[in-house]
Amino acid sequence: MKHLVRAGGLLLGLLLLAFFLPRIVGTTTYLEGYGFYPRNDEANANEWASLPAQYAESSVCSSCHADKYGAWKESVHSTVNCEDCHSPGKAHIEEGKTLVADTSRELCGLCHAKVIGRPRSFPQVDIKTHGGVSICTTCHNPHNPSQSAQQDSGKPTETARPPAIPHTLEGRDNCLLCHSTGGIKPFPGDHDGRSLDTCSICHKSK
Amino acid sequence: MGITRRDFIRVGGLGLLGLTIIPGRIPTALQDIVSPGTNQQVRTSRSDSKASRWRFVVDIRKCIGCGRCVKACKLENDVPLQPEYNRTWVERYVVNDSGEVFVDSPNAGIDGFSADYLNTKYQNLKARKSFFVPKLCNQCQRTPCIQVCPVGATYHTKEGIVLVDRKACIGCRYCIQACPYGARFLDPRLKVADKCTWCYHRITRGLLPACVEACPVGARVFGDITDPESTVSSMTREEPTAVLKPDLGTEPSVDYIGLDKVIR
Repeated sequence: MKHLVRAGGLLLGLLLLAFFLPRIVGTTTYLEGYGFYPRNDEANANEWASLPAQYAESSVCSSCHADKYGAWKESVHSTVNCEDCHSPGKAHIEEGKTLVADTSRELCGLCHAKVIGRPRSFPQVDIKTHGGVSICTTCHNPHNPSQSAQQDSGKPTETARPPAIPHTLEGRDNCLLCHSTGGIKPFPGDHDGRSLDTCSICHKSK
Repeated sequence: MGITRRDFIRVGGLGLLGLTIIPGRIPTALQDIVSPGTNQQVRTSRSDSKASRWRFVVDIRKCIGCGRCVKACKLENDVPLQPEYNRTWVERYVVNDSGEVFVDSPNAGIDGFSADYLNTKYQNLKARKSFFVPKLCNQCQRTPCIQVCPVGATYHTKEGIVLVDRKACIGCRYCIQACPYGARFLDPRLKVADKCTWCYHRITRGLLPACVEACPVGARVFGDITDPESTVSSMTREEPTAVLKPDLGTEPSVDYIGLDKVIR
């Protein structure tokens, strides 16, 4: 009977050893590099860390575009990264590729269109009616929204409104009679293709 | 005739004595067997519990749903542009008068929420409250995804970021199923699991994650939690924060401000 006890004891001892040994010496530290799936976490983490960055910081832009940067930095738009509108800067900085700013109404609308879900205190407009079909930068200076578009430096105006109509509208139903291309006082080039019914959306009589 | 009482006591006694003289972590290992979960260090010894040095704070009250973060993430990290592959995304929650909850995340929010067709359904809705919720990998300190990986292809970095070894990943999708936050997806080009790395290549260089850089309202804040002067430190110290699905015990590293009970 004694040999059975001895064998059973040995087996029990081996089992205990097999259970506890890996937990004492910590297999994870010295066995991980071997086996079917060798791992090297640190080398892999370094691989991830070595990937190139596409987005620079806005502060990088200041070294060349100090004027625009200065205006932007002081404005309420200073929380909006340059690259939000101008797209990632890596290719521009390293290879001199031209960045094209997105000036579409849709881009401004991403933040400023009146949409359910947005905090009420955030400035929002009805994008369908506000400003007709003009691109926003016609009236608003994106680098300093409290200034009008024409005014890139100097004191901010109270509002960013387009010029008011300095004359009476009595008997002057058709704006385009005088203000179309070739008229007495033609509208700016970027107004091309706008119809008569949109004038009064932006231009109010005094 | 069988084992005598004397022999039983002798062998048993020797066995117990043997247990007590094995030094080191045995007591904690025993404790773990007796009551699993109380001893994290041993239970998760396979590099599965790392307190992150970095912390991410998302302020739901500030988010305007412009989707610049989603776009920045895709451009920065070469994430497939199709809408079903995202490392980060923005959800919109709308709760109406009778408490019904509507959730949408059109194209993960990359094109914003201002397009007409996205809002017609809410036109006649009496919305009681509505808000945007940016989501990303929570870089859990006790991760379901690392636990289930059969080949050990996903791991914690020394800073506590969860990464995927693309050479080791066999694309079995277990981790995608395991993540309670839906933060993982299978990269259609490489057929390996992919997820948000908090822009590991940027933060290790001292830059901010691309989504944080792109956020125009400061709804995403990133920083070093061990630095008491950092914004994340003061925010988590002074603001009421909460994590997503705390009941799962994953110990996320993303704190939310303005978390609502309807958020899933």
